[in-house]
Amino acid sequence: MGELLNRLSRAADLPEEILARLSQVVLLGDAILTAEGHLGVLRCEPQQVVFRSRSGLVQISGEGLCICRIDEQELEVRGQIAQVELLREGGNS
Amino acid sequence: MALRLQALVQGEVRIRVTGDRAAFLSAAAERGLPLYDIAYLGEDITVTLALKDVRRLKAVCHAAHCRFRPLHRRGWPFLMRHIVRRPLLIIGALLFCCALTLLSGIVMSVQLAMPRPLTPEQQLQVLQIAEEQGIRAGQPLWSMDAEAAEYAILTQTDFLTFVEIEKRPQLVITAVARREADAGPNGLLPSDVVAERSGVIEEILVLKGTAAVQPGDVVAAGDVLIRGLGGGELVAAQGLISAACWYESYAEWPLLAIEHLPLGKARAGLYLQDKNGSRLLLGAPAPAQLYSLSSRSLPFAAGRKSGSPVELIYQVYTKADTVLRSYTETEAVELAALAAEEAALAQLPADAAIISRSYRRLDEAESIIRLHLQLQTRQNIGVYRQLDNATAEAYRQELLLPPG
Repeated sequence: MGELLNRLSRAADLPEEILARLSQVVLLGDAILTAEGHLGVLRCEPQQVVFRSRSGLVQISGEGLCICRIDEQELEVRGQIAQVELLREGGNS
Repeated sequence: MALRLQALVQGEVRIRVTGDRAAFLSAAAERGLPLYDIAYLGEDITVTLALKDVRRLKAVCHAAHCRFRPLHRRGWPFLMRHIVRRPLLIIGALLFCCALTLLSGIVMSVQLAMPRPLTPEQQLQVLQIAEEQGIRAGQPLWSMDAEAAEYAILTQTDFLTFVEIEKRPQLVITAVARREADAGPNGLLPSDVVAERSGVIEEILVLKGTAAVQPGDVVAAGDVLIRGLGGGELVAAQGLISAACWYESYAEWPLLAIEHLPLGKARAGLYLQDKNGSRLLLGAPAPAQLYSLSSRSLPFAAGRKSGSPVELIYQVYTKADTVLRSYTETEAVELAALAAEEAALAQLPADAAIISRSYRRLDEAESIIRLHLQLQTRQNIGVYRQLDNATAEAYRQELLLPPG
């Protein structure tokens, strides 16, 4: 199914993340991270923020991190971001 | 920004959430509850949400096993509720607006604007007539009839040509005096009006006598403009003669100039001056180096009928340095133009209006900027000159001649 969507999006010249409903994580410098299509927050600490996405868990590490805005589709993390990791199911990054 | 404005219009609430904050944020996102301005407060978090979402907050907190406590509310709905609960505030605001409207409709002061000066007696007369017509401080503006007052001032005085009353709290009566010809230095003695300086006649208005020139004529200083001859007799000629006149001036400015620059260091001394010379009382003596001097005589023994035989002088020597200052050509031209204009303006009479300026550079190859300025003015050039015996006799003979 996923392969079919990918082929379809390429044929129609559509953004893959929209058709396949993938999460989009945008990092602006080292201060702002915006995630579209998140599936909930698992951890919210000044040193670490973890949220679930369709591709796995997104782990953000740094200093003074804070989810400053969240709604059904989008969340925005601000702070001094040092590392962004995607953790696959089973713990592989 | 748009979200914040919308929240302010619709109202927003800031709350403190105690419990698992990640679970709370997830539950809120899951239920489509937008949260913003999220901040840590120890183990808790504070969040802001729209007033319309507060009802769903209970379900979110219940699902996340959290508790919430409102911290403060803001926005239009809360402000309105605050105002509605205080009727005295509304009444006070209304009263304030009414008072402001009322006060802005009352004349606070009456001023007289005079484009041409009026004598104190004339000013008093204008203000008295205005007061009789109800134009006075403290009167409401809506009860005044400005047009009637303007008509009364204009008709009851004989020295005004225009009156306008502006109805506003700082009421202004604009009164323009009629331009009168000078009665002449000799009263009723027969006299001519002659040109004070050379020029081209632009306008002539004869009040008494006979015009000797007409617009467009070129006249030189001393030429007769209005003859003291009118109605079959010798009269003191009167009239207004407006003419275009030209003034010239010259100024120069060097491209390199030696200037004394004050350095800030100063010495002061108090001297006693008598007929034998001056003697230092206090302070430092006059320095030998380059200093610029400013001195001031102090009032000594003021109040005595006879003058004091001695004088106290306070002298300040400010140290100055001699510098060679260079000017760009543009700077030098600007400074020369200023100097030339200053010199030309010093020649102008008070009533002259400048029509045009014309600058001309002289000797452009030199290290000094030389400028020639020509000013064109419009001014009254007529002055009275009493008829001498020969002219008076000539006029009399002219009167005896049969017409034609």
